[in-house]
Amino acid sequence: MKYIGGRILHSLFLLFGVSLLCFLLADLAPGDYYSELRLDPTISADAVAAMRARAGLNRPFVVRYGAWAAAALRGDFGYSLAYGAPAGPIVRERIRATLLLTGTATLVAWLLAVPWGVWSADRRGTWGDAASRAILALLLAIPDLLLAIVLLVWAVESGALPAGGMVSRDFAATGTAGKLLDVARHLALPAGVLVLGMLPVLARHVRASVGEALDSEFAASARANGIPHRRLLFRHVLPAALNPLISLFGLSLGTLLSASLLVEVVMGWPGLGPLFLDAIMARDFTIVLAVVMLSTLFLIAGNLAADLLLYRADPRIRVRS
Amino acid sequence: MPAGTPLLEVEGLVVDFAGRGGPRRVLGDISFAIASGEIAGLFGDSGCGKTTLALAIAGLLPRGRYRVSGSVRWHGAESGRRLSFVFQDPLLALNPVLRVREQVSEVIRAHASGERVEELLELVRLPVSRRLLDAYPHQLSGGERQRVLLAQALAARPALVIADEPFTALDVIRVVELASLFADLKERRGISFLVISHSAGVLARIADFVLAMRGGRIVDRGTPSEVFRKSIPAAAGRNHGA
Amino acid sequence: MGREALLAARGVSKSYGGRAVLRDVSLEVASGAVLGLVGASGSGKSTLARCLALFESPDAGEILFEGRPLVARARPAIQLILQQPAAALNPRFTAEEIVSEPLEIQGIGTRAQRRERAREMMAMVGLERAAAGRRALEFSGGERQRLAIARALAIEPKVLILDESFSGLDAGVGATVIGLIDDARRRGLACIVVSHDVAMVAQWVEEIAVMDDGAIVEQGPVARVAAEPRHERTRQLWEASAALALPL
Repeated sequence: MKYIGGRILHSLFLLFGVSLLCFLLADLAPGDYYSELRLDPTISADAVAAMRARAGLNRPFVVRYGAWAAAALRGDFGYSLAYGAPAGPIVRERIRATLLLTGTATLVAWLLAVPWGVWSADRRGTWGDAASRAILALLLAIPDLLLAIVLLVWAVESGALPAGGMVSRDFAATGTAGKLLDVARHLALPAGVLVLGMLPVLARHVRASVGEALDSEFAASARANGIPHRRLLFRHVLPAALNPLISLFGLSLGTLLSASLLVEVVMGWPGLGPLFLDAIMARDFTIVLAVVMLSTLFLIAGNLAADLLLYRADPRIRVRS
Repeated sequence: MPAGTPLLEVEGLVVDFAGRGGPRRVLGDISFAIASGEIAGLFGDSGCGKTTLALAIAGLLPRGRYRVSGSVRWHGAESGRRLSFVFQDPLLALNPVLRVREQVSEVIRAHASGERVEELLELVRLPVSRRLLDAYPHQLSGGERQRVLLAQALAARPALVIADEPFTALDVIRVVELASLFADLKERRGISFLVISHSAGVLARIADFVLAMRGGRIVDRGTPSEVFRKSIPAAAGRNHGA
Repeated sequence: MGREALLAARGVSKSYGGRAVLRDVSLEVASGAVLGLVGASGSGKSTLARCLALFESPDAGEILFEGRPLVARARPAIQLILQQPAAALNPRFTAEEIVSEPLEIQGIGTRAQRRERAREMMAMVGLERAAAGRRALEFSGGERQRLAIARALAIEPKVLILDESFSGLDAGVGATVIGLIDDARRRGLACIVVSHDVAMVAQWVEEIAVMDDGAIVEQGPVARVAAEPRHERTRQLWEASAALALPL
């Protein structure tokens, strides 16, 4: 209990530090939301100054940060100047789309990576393993961006899958099954890109960890005691190989909000990505800050979840001798 | 199986290791025999090839890197298992995420030998309790771990148990206890042992005969008193215990 | 005995997670002396050894070196050799790097001098000078133990603590190492031998302390303790040890 309390305290400090740093960097960047308007000759400088004052952008740094932080603690992330609406709800709505994408991709990636890793660890030194390593290395080397663009081009040329967006135009009119299918078809490409990006990293880690356990003395002992191979692999070796994979899983959870940024922007998935990018370009800092804070929160939660899982999974940590 | 009937016959066993500079001979022309209900000692300093010999007999040498030739013949061992191998370091040889109960039951299951976990643990003189059955390897003492390894080995009902340096991690009091357990298992269950040790004292106590090795060859064989009397008295005195 | 204590533990206590491992232990060793610290597994002797070498700090009591509380700076003067050679040596380091490492850390000598000393020490423990370039993982367990001993002696410590360090060595090498240590003792080295094998230890040490369950239960000149053990544990250790002695 004391441990969790300490972690939470530590997390609060982290959130505070991140928010301060982000606010500071945003402030140091030249210009603000109204800078663009200055270029318009029809709007006088006084008018711009008045708008700025009304938005409270001329107050000192400490005051602005203080006000923001106080509101954020209450869950109020401020007012988006670009959308003319509270920032919180805008961000929260986009989160759902992002989580749908990253959640699906992460699940699929892990479901593929674990068997792949176990299979290749079991067949180290064979041609199959060499081919598998080559494929994974290739996937690792290909940039997500390139993959995304290639798939988009294919989608446009073949028309087999939609090339952007989350739903079709007639979404509202279709039945539930139709709706699900529609979303799934839109989800396929961006999720595919993410899966192909995550797969090599996960599979290689699984292979390394399972491989190490297979080489261990206790695996040799179990083999010598006559434990059949399949049982050895899944009942003896895999449980012992979980530690590093749990930490990796925590990282997967932690990056659920941030992993798909690029893919969303390029492939037109209406999640946090495009929102975030537009907000940065427009200097709409309340949105920017809200997205950063929520991503950080996810990262912290992911790490904490990993630690708790590790605690449960590894008796050496859980039970003191 | 009545004691004294031949169990294992090794003849002209040669093991080559495929090293970087070409194949290297690690064991040269080993021949010996073990009867049922017999404790054989394999004695020698570190690096003399005792573990390699044991692994070769057990068929545990990785086939890619080692080439084994010569004959290893088993006689009349019933449908049960021929041999079990007890690895040297109990902490490393036990699965860190399995409880004692599972460590042993997994082996029973693999051989459908019909043994029971509690009985096996009693056989190796461990006090059977909830605490013990639920324990993980890191919660046990070195001596307890050693016995769990032995229980695993016995779960397969082997005719021969090969134990690689089982006394190394134990203090003298425990060594004497474990040695007497081996002797007891030999008497009561007719199990043969091939005990590897660099400790002459222990082998002198329980082995029916000893094979002394050096440089991959058997350099002496006979009863313990025959083999060890020839060693330098000072060295022999210093080399006892674990 | 008239000799000043070089290294001493006074009233040392230590617990791990609620379990008392050392209970108010006091022990001392003088320059040039060799003391045996024996006991069964779990008696606390290894923990005491680690406290004496400052690998761990006692919860209560103090460790005195040359009359003053032991501080980290004095650590190189007290060398502890552990039981598991594989764990104590970096497998990727070469033998030469391992043996010369303490000299390097303390900034003693030039690189060439350190290398020469490393080879010297290796020769003294019976390893070929030519093997200096081999990595630790290429040596057998017993050879690695010798490397650990060579490393400890290379820096000419004032106190040497051996924790079950002879278990991997054959008779000949053991005798060589004891000879090396005896030589160093003439130059003032104090030596503590921690072991569970009383008979082996008794052949070499002058004084012996017996530990059981975290406390020293008996201490005195080895001849007396062997002939008239006063504590049950001492008797058990001696009997077991004798049971394993070769009939000569």
